[in-house]
Amino acid sequence: MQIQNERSGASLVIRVSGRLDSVSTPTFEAHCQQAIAQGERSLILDFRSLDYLSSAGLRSILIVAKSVGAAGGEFALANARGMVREVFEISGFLGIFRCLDSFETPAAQD
Amino acid sequence: MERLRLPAKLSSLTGFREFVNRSAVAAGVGPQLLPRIELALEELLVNHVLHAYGSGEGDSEVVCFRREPDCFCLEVVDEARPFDPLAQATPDLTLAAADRPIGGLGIHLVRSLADEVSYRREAGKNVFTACFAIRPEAPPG
Repeated sequence: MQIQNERSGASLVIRVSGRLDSVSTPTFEAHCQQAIAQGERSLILDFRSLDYLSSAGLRSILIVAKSVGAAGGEFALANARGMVREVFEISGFLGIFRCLDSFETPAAQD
Repeated sequence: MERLRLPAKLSSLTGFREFVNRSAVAAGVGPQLLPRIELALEELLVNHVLHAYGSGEGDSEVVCFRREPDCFCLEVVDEARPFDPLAQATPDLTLAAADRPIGGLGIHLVRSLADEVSYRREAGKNVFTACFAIRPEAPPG
């Protein structure tokens, strides 16, 4: 798993690549919680390069969403595809979170 | 039929995954089905690590086999106290994010992604089986 931060206006875009599984999830969760602790109030998780997601990943996404919500912030999922999108669908996440289907950061549009 | 036995620990996940990937590819599983099988493996193993042995020590065993005409099957076996993951209730998927309980989705994912799931208690072992139909896959793109 690799994690990269980008900015899009007031939002912090966290781009997660590779596998979000039981092994990599603690690193992902700590990264997001640190961003919230540093004052970020709008998180967009960009999953365009994420190939694999398990329930451990879902669990940490839910924890991060609750944390940012409790801090008065906003949260969105972007660009989930393939098996990752299917896992979101099966678990009902597409219905409970804001989902951006063709989200681009300003840098990515250049 | 191929089998691999490793300690029931999260650190065994990579070894089991490589073993299952090799068996699945050899059985004719394509790149679209493979991550679904990997997911079932992870969920079942993690479930075992969390529930089966509690804080004690033990092994997990993974068995892979092809069931004719067209199924790839995965069995996760342990020798812990009886534990039937299928007895868990399906989580409420309609609750808002703030009200959703943390966790409980793993077995729901396995049930949804596999074509058949079953649990049996056999000779002092928990045996959980997930089977996946191997279907022709459209080329990517």
